[in-house]
Amino acid sequence: MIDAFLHVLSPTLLLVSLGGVVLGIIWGALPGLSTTMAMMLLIGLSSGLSLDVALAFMLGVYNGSSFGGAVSAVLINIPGTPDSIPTMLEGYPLAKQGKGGEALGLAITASFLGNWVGILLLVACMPVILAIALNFKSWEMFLLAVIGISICGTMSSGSLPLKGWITGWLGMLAAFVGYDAIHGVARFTYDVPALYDGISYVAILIGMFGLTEVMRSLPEQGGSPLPEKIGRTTPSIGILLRYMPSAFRSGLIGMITGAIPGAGANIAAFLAYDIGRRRAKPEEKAKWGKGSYEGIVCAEVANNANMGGSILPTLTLGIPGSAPAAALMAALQMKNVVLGPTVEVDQPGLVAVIYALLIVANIMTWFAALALIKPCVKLFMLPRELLLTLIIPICVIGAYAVRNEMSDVWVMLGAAFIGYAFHIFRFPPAPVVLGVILAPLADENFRRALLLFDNKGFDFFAQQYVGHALVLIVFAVFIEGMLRERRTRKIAAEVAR
Amino acid sequence: MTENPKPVLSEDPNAGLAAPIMDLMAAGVIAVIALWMLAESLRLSVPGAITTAPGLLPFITSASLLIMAVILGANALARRRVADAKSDRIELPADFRRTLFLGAILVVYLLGLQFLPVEAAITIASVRFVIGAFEVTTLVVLTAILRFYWQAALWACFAVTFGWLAFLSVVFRTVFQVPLP
Repeated sequence: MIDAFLHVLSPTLLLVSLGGVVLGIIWGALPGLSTTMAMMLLIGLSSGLSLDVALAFMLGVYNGSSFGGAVSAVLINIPGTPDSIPTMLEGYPLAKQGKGGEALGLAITASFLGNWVGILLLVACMPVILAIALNFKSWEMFLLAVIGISICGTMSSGSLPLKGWITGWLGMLAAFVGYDAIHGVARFTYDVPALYDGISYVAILIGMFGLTEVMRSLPEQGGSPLPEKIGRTTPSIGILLRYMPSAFRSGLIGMITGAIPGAGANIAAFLAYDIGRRRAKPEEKAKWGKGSYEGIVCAEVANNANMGGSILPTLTLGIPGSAPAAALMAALQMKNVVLGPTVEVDQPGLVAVIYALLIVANIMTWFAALALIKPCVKLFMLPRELLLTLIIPICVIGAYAVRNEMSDVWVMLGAAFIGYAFHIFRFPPAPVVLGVILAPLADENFRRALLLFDNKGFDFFAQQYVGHALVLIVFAVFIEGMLRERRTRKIAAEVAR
Repeated sequence: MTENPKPVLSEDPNAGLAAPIMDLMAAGVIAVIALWMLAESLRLSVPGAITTAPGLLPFITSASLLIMAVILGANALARRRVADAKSDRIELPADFRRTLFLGAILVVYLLGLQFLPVEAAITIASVRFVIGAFEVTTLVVLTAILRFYWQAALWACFAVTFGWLAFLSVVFRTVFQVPLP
């Protein structure tokens, strides 16, 4: 661990990390530009960087943009990222009372604390999860992939999990294109050479999360209002200490939701905010919705602790906990780094470097956020149409850079159109990410497991206790989802009557 | 008595029930895709045992996708029976036409990148700068998009595009040595 820190403290990595943090804060602060979009664009762009530099930059951006959303949420009542909506509900009323600087200072410190909770729990849980995961064989890995995709579908689509499962399954089908890993049979290629290597999932991710956002937001008319007087931005440690129990509870909520595939910073922030409001003392409860410091603490701690949580299953099981974590995993896969139970054996030292980079990025975010609040406010004057247009060539470069193929750029455009159709027909795009990333893992392990079970008899199958437990989880996810869906339809039908 | 709808936490607030006609259309398209993949997975060769067939998981995935599409379609049909004409129509975003226009421009952009035969290089202060289809097409298309959506003066749109393009080109082609289209 000390070696990893010494390595990360090199001037190059520090500078790259700082650059990522600054870019992330600015990106997150600009309405319409999400953390997921930033991370997806960086996958392709990181192809020209070394592993350490790419990791430092991506983790810096991830860290910075997780906080950045709070800036516009508090100052102009527009959430920079969707997870900063609860911060907006409490921060903007404070800004109108002339306490915007204080609210932002509290958000910065709460984010800093949230990241620490996430990182510490990540470090503590990693050996436990790895020890369990090392016992997973092909059958268990297949089931884990199915659980990942189906839970993501459930969490992304809330009241209607069926739509989330459908997009996850479509993502899987897209990933089956190309030569199969066991027999080398060309699947669904139709003699098109560009399809032999499969469809580039990086192109799909950039299209669906980068270009789709541009297509959705660029044609919208109307701009952002300019903020009123901010006041002095103070770190507000005193206020944070007053709400320490709420902060730790929210950190835990953020970490746990982060570890569940598909449940990202949005659910973490809303859940922590909701629980915080229910558990608030009566005198505090009266302030919620009118400018509560405790509300800001709950939301910001949770959505930042979520980052550590989402990295946990990504590193240990190879199953991304959220869309930005999936982007991180995709960038690592492009550098032939395979994440999963054997990550410590295959990539000695990588996990420690990630811990160190997370800590460095967190400290830098705290300082950079305090310094960047006022320049960020000036950025709100930039027209959204200008910013979104400038993202278009970055999407093209990102998709092209992976394999230097124009076909990938066309795939990206196709994915953007499909992503836009998903938006209109109200399907969640996030499960597609899990589908395209986990389908090869599921396919290979499924067939390997069947080969292993072949001629072994029922006794051998019956002894797969971990597998049986995972099968039960799969059933539980689908049954819970179907019950939830039935409830939603019943309510919709009654409302229609 | 209507049950009080309890909000369900969701990572994507937009995801959920669409108008019944839209869900029905989506179910139809998904069913066609599932049937197509189902047929294609059956056509794949089986070099070893059936348990390791390359089309096995695609077949299972397509079959389950088909079931999901049928459930979505059946529920949409049931909702159509009780829905009034007002709530059962195709809902498009207010700026849909502007989005379609943007989509068309993007197709033209990619066609330019693919087929424009441009390859030139200039040397400034002993540094070689490459100008390819990316630079030429992006300059034209981005200026047009800015002019249409940002609605600033043409020279301002051109200047912003030129500056951004020069930055991207130098960073990727010269600094990171990343090839561009």
